[in-house]
Amino acid sequence: MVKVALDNVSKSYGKVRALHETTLELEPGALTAILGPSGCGKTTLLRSIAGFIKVDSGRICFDGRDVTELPPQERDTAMVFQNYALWPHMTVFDNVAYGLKLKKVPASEVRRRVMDALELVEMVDILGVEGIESRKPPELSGGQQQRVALARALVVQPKVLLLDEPLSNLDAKVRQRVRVEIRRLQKRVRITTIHVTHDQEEALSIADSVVVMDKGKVIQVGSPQEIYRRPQSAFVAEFLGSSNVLTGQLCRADQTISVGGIKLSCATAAEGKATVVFRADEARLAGEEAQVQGNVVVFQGEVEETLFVGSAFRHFVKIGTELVMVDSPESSPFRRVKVVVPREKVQIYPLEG
Amino acid sequence: MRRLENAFWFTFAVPTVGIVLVLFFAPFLYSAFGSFQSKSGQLTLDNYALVARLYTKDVLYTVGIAAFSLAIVLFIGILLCGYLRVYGNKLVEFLFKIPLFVPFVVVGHAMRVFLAPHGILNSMVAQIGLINLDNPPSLAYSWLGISLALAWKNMAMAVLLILGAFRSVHETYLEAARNFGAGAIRQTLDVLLPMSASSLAVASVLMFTSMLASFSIPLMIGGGKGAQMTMIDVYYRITYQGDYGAANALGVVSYLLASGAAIYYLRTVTRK
Repeated sequence: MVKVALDNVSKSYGKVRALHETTLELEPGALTAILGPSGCGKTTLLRSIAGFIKVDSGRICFDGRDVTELPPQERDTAMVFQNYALWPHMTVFDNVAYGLKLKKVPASEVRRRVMDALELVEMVDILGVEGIESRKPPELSGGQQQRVALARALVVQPKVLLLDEPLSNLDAKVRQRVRVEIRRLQKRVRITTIHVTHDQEEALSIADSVVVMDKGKVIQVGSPQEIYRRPQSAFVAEFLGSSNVLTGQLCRADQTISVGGIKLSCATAAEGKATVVFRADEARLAGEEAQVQGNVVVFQGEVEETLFVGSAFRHFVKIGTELVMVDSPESSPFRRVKVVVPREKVQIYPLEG
Repeated sequence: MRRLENAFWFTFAVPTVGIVLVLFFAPFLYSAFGSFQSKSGQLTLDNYALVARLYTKDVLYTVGIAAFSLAIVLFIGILLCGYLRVYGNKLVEFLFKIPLFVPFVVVGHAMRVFLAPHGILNSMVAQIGLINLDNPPSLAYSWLGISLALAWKNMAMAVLLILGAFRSVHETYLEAARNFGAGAIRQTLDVLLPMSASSLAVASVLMFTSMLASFSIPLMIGGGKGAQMTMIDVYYRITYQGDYGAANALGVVSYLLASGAAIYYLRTVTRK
């Protein structure tokens, strides 16, 4: 199990900074998800670790060994690509065996290890030995191709497994299943794994640790629960889950923030605009006349639209000029409503600059 | 509406189809028909008998030279394009595309100067004492000279076609191989080549047929004696003997050779 460490790693493409002095330590044997929107630098980070990209500055170390200048094959990493990148002219067997053949592993051992790897990803039962030796990737489904790609990566027994949005080409149902399988597999082999994704649900559900990135910078690192429950910035709060974002005005003199037509007490050393965030599933609706008790924040609003989204009814409520979402198990019978949010669930982030 | 649209497209297609019919099919049919005519206009197979008797060796020589040149072009082209695809080198890519802009006659002349008995190549080799200039070997005026010149001239087209095919292979397929330690040659032979096989087959057919029909290079570099390429034979048959019948028969034989390659081309394309 290898500890991966990045120390002040930067990479630019022309004037665009893809990685900005990134410093990060990834626990050995853990599955770390790198999460962020498109263009946040997460794939550049992964490809830098793989050795496909030469970084401009900084160091990348595996267990303290500096690998920054090493070519990909000398880093003992294996990558699973978004498009699987299985060679379409080779059989499943040849695809998986390729890495071993290049390493000049004896043929009998190649066969044993290829079968073991395919067994690990449960492809032997699906294809059978004959299918493995005769079928080519275009004849397989997306989910099957993904398993073969995983087997191809695992067969060389890498020290670090790199997954570049491996589930994004699969349909929703298959994605859910393969996600669980990746988690199960990773726990079994205990290889340090880095999983890049823009899907927050995927990241939170399978990772031991989540790294949230934006604009080439690491914004927050923590366990999925920490990241979800205690986002340290408006960006993280917005990016994770169905969040509502309101703009408020901080007042340092009386330690309050004005938002959505109400004033909340708020310990602040800052003055000026701030972002107020709460989740759709942590708010509830009450009738306009209802009495609300407890340490809660209450906004007055008007339901504009209600959508059934499967697990809940999603209400779109206009508060002043801003629109927020509130999820509840039943559709609200009221048009004019109170949006009730427990005070501790309301996050306030002063706007920078 | 649909009928109007069809009429519109038909109107657009007529000039193009007309040009193909007038400039390609008509001369071809005229030539094919002429190959079955004697000088007095009677139908005969004499022209083909003459071709079989005098030119079988030349036809085989032509196919041999085209195949050998194609082999040189593919060998160098595939390795070069593999290098250019994996590492990228604008200067080398540009240098290899230069022959595209050099006319056939100029290539023929340049190669004649370069490969002649007292040409640049032999002079350089003599400097290091490998050959004696009093009795120099000559690549010019030989089948090897023609092959090298044809390969040189077609290299640019090969680079254009092969590099295009290699570039259409997504980078991740190469990265997957590189991840396991494949160098440029392994990436080329294991990934790029098989994944571009049909494009390469098409490129090969185009170059092969173009080499079969080459004229100015064999005229300038080929020796005056022994076997000749078929287009030279056609030229002599018409210019010096006024024998259009045999020339047409040679043309039809060349056409059949090229169409064999073209059938392969069409099969490859439709298989896609």
